[in-house]
Amino acid sequence: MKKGGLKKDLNIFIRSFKLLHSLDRKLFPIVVLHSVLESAKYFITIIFSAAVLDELLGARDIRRFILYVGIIIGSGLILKLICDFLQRIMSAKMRIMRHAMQKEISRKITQLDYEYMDSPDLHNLRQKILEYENMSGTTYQITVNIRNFITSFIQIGTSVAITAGLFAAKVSASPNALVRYINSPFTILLLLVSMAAVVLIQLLHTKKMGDYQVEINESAMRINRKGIYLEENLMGNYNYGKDFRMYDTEELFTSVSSDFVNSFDKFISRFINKVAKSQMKNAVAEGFFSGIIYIFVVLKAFIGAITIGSIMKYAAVIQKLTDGIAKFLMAFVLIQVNCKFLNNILELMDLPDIKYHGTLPVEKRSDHEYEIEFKNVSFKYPSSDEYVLKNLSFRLNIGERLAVVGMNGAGKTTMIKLLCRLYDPTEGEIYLNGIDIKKYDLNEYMSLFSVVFQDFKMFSFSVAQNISASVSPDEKRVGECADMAGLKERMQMLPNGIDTYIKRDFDEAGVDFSGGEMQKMAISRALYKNAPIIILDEPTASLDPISEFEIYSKFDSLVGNKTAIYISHRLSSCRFCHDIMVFDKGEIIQRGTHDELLKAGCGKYSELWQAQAQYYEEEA
Amino acid sequence: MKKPIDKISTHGALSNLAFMARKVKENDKRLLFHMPLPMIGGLGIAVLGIFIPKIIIDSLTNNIPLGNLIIIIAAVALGLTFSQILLTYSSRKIEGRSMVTRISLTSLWMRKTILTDYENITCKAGQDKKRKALESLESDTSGTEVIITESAQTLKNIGGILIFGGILGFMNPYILLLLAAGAIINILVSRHALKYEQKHKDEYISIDNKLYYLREQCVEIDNAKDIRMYSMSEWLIDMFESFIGQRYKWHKKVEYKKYVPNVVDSLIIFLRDGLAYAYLIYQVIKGMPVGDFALYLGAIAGFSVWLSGLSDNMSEIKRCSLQIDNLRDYLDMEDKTNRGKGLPLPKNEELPFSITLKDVSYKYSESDEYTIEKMNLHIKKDEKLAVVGVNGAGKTTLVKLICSLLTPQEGEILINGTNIGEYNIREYQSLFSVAFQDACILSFTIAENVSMRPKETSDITLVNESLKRAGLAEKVDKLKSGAMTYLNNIFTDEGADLSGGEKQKLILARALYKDAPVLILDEPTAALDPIAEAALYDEYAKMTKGKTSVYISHRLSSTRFCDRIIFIENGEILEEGTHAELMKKGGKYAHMFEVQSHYYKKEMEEAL
Repeated sequence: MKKGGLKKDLNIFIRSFKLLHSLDRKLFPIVVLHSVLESAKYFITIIFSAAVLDELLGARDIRRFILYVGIIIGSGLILKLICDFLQRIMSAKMRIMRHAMQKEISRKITQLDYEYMDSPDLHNLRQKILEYENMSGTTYQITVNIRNFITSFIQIGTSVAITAGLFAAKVSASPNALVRYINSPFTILLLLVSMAAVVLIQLLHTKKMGDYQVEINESAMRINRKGIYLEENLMGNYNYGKDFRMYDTEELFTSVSSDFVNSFDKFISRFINKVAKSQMKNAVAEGFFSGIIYIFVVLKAFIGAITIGSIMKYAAVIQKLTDGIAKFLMAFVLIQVNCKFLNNILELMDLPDIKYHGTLPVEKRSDHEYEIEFKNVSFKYPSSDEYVLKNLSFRLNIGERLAVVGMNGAGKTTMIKLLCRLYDPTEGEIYLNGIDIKKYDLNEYMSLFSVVFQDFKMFSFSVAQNISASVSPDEKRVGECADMAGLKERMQMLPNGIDTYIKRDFDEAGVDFSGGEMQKMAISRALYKNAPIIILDEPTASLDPISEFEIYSKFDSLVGNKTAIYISHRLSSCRFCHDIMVFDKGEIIQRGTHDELLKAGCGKYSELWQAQAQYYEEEA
Repeated sequence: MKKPIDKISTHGALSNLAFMARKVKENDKRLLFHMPLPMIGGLGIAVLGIFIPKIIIDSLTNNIPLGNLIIIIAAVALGLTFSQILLTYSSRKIEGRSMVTRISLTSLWMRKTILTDYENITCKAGQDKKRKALESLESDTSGTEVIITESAQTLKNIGGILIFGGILGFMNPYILLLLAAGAIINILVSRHALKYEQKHKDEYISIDNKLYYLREQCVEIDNAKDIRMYSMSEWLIDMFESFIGQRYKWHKKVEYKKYVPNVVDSLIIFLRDGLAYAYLIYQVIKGMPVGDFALYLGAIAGFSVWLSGLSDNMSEIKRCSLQIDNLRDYLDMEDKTNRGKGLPLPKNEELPFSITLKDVSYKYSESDEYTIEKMNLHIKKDEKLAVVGVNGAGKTTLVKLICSLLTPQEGEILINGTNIGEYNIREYQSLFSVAFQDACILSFTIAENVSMRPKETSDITLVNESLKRAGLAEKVDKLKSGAMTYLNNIFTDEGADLSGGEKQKLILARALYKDAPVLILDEPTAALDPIAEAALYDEYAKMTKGKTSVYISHRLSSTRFCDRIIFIENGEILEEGTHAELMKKGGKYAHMFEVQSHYYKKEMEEAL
C-alpha cells in the first residue's frame, strides 16, 4: 500500500464520515453504545461461566452458584433487551441513510451549471455512483463497515485487557522443569509470534479480498449495466414488444442473453475460486493457531498457574481477540474499497461552478423593455471540435414575435440555450440592455425566460405541482394559466381537477395525458412563470393539425405583449411572426418578414418553404 | 382478500423446490452434489466445538499424561480445520452457482417477454405478472437464488437438530420438549411481526418507488434544462425530504414490531439458561462428571441455535417460494394466437395480397369503450392507403390489429380472403414490415438495429443498402466502424448517438431491410426537417412497388402520393376516397387539410 494512497484514503474516509454523520448525528453514537454493551454481555458470560466451572471443581458453594448464574442470566437479559432495542433503531437509521445521501447528491446535481450535463466526466461519475449504489446499496454497506470497525476495535480492547491476566498468571518458581519452561517469557514470546503470524496471514488474505472487491466492482458494474439494460430498459418497455415480434427477434435475444449468461458465469467462477482458495488458506492458519492456543492454555492450567475453569475463558478470549483483529482488518480494507466509491461522491460534491456568477440584479421592468444583443457569438460544445454557431450577431426586438427556422442541426436550439445562459459563448458576448449577461445574477437572469423546450419534461406528480414547479402551488393562478393554454375543458372532466396526477406511476387515479395535452401543460407552466420573454421550441411537432391550429391561433393571446421566440421547422408557423430568422449551418443567413424572404427568390427560406408547401398546392 | 403472509402458494413450496431442483439439474448438475457439504463441515465444527471443553476438563481432572493430551488437542484442531475448509469451500461454491442459476433463469423470462402474445404483456394484469416475476430474478436477495442457499442451510440445521437432539436426549429427553416449546413460541411471535411487514408492504413500497423515481429524475440529463429554467431544484428536494420522512416512519414502525419477538426471545433465553444451569449443576452435585456439564451446556445453546436457524430457513423458503410462484405464473401464461402449424403463406405469385377487415371491433382491457367499432375496410393488393385522423382516433390500433399484435373481440381479418387466425402467428407476422412511431432503438450495433438479427447472421450489404435508401448512409459512413458501430454506451465505450431524425431513418431502414410484402409506416416524418421529409415522399413510390402499403400521418401533405385515404375518428371510418374526392366532399378531411394548408395557401394566392 503506497503511503500516499493510504493518506489520501484516510482523508477521503474522514470527509465521508463527516458527511454521513451530518446526515444523522445520532447514528454513530448509538453504534458505539451498542458495541460496548454487546461486548460487555459476551465477556460477562465468559468470565462468570468460568467461575461456575471452577466452583463445580471446587467448593460447590450454593450461594456462589446462585450469584454467578444470577449475574450471567440477569445481565444477559438486561443487556440483550437494550442491545436489541438499539439494534432496531440502528437498522432503521442505516436503511434510510442511502436515501439521505441520494438526496444530497441530487441536490448538488440539480444545482450544477448546465455545462456539466454534456460533460462525459460528470456522466461517468454519476453513472459510477448509481451503479455502486445499486450493488447492494453501498451507503448502507459503508455504515455497516464503520459499525464493524468500531465493534471490532472495542472487542480487541476488552480481549486484551482480559488476556493480560493469562500472561500475568504465574506459579512461584519451582524446580519442575516444565513449570520453568511454561513460566518463561520464551513461551509467551512463542505464542505472540504465532499470533502475529496468523494475523499476518489474515492481513494478506484480507488485502487480497479487498483487491478482489475492487476488481469485482468494476467488472460487476459493466455486467450489471448490461443486465439492467436488458431487463429494465428493453424488456421493461412494453411498447418495444411490437418490434420484438414483428421483427422476429428470438434469435437475436437468445444470442445476446446467452453471451450475457456466459460472461457472468465466467466472471463469478473466477471470483469464487479466488475467494475460496484464500479463505481456505486462512482457515488453515486459524486452525493451527487454535491448536497452539489450547495447548498453551492447557499447559498453564496443567502447572496450576490458572484454574481449569478459566481454560475455556482464556481460550475463548484469545479467539475473540484474533477474531477481533481479523474483523478489524476486514473492515479496514473494505472501508478502503468503499473509499473508491466515496471518492466519486466527494468529487461530485466538490464540483465547482464553471460559469462566472455575477451579482447584478436584473431590472424588473413592467414595460418589458428588454433588449438582447448577440455580438460575434461563436459556440462549440465542450465535447466537440465543430463550431455549432459561427459569428452570430443580431438584436432581438422588444415585444415582437420572432420565428427561428432552419433544418435539423442548424443551431436553432443551441442559440436558445445560449440566450438563456445554459451555456456561455465560446467567443463573443451577449448583452441585456447593454450589459454583458455574465454580470447579472444567474438566477435572476434566467427568471426572464419562460421556455418550452422540444423535449420538455413533466414529472409524475400532480398537474398543479408541475405547472407551478412547487410543492405548494397557487391554485388560482394554476387554473388561470391552464385555461389560457386551452386545458379548461380537460381539467373540468377530471374528478380531481388540477390535483390529478400525471401518469399512473404514483397514483392509481393518475391519467395518461395525450401528447397534445402535455404540450398545453408545458405552455401553462411557461405562463405560470410569467417571464417577460417566452420561447417555444417545436411545440407542435407531435400534434395533429387541429391541435396545432389551436396553438397557433391562441399564440397571440397567450403571449400578450411579451417578447416571443418561436422555433420550428414547420414553416406554417412563420405566418404569424413579424420577424423571421433563418439558420443554416450555425449562421443566420436570412432575416426579414415572410414576404421579404420569399421575394428574395432562391434563398434557403424559399427552398424550405417550397419543399413543404408543394404538397398543399391546389391541383391546377 | 387474503393477506400476503397468509397467501397460499399457488404451487406450494415443495413443488417450487422441485421446480428449482429441475432447473439446477438442467443447468448445473454439480451444484446438487455440493448441497450436503456445508452440513458436514458445519456439523464437524459444532460437534468438535462442544466436545473440546469436556475433553480438556476430563483429561485434566483424570490426570491423563500431558503428552496424550497435547496429541488429542492437536487432533481436534486438525478436525476443526478440515471442517472449516469444507464449510468454506462448499458455501462459496453454492453461493456462486446459485447466482449463475438465477441469471440463467432470467433468460427464460426474457424469452417469454418477447414471444408471448403482445396483449399478454401490455394489459395491466400481464404487466403486473411480468414485474412480479422479475422480482424473483433481479438481485442477489431474489427467490431463485436464495432458495438454493437456504436449502443448503436447512440441511445443515436439520443435521444439527438430529445430532444435538440425540446428545441431549441421551441425557434427558424432556429437555428437548422444553426447548422445542420455547422455539415454537418464538416462531409464532416472529410470524406476527412478519405479517405486519407484509401487510403494509404495498404502502411503503410505493414510497420506495417515489424515492427511486426522484433519484432518477434529478439526475436525468434530459430534465436538466427544465429543472434550471423553472428553478425546480427546491421543489424536487422538498419532495425528496418529504418522502424520506415518510419512509423513515415506516422503517421505525416495522422495527418496533420486530422488537416484540426480541423481547419474548430474551425472556425465553433467560428462563432456558436459568433452568439449564440449575439442572446441570444439580446433576454434577449428584455425580455427573464436570466435563459433561460443559458439554451439555454447549449442546443446549447449540440446539436452540439450530432450531431458530431452521425456523428462519422456513420463513425464507416460504418467501422465495411465493416469488417463484410469480415466476411460474408468468412463464405459464397462455397464448391465444395460433402457435401451431398454420396454413402455408401466400406464394410469390399471390403477392402482394389484399387485407380485409370485416366488422372488426376491438376494446383494450383497461377501457370500457371500444377503440375500434365494427370497422369494415378492404385494402386492395398493391394499394397505397393513407390513414389520417386526430390523436387517439384508433390509427395505431388498426395497425396492431392488422399485424395480429391484437386480436379483435368481434369480426375477422382476412388476407387474400383467408382468416389470419389460420396462419401460424410468427409466419404471418413475417409478411409485414412496420415502422412504428415509438419503435425501439437497441443499444447494439447499427447493423443489428437494421437486421434485428445477430451481427454474425446479418446481411451487411443489404444493411448498408437499406441505410442508404432510408437516408442514413451519410451519417453511418462518417462513423469509425460504419454499420458495426454500437449505439450508446451499454455494450461499448465508444458508442454513437443518433438525433431524433436519424433515429426515424434507422427505423425506416429496418422496415426496408425486411422487405416484406406489406409496408406500414406510422408517422415516419415527425422528427424530419422539410428536405428529409420531401426526400421520403419522393422515395415512397419506389419503396412500395409491388407491395400493399399503409401510411399513417398527421402531415396531410403525405396523402398526395397515396391511392386512397381513409379518415378515422373514434374508431370508425368516417370518410374514404382519393384526395380530390374528399376535398370535393368538403367534410372533416377537407377541413383538416384546410387548417394545415391555410398558412401555405395564402402565400400561393398572394404570389399569383
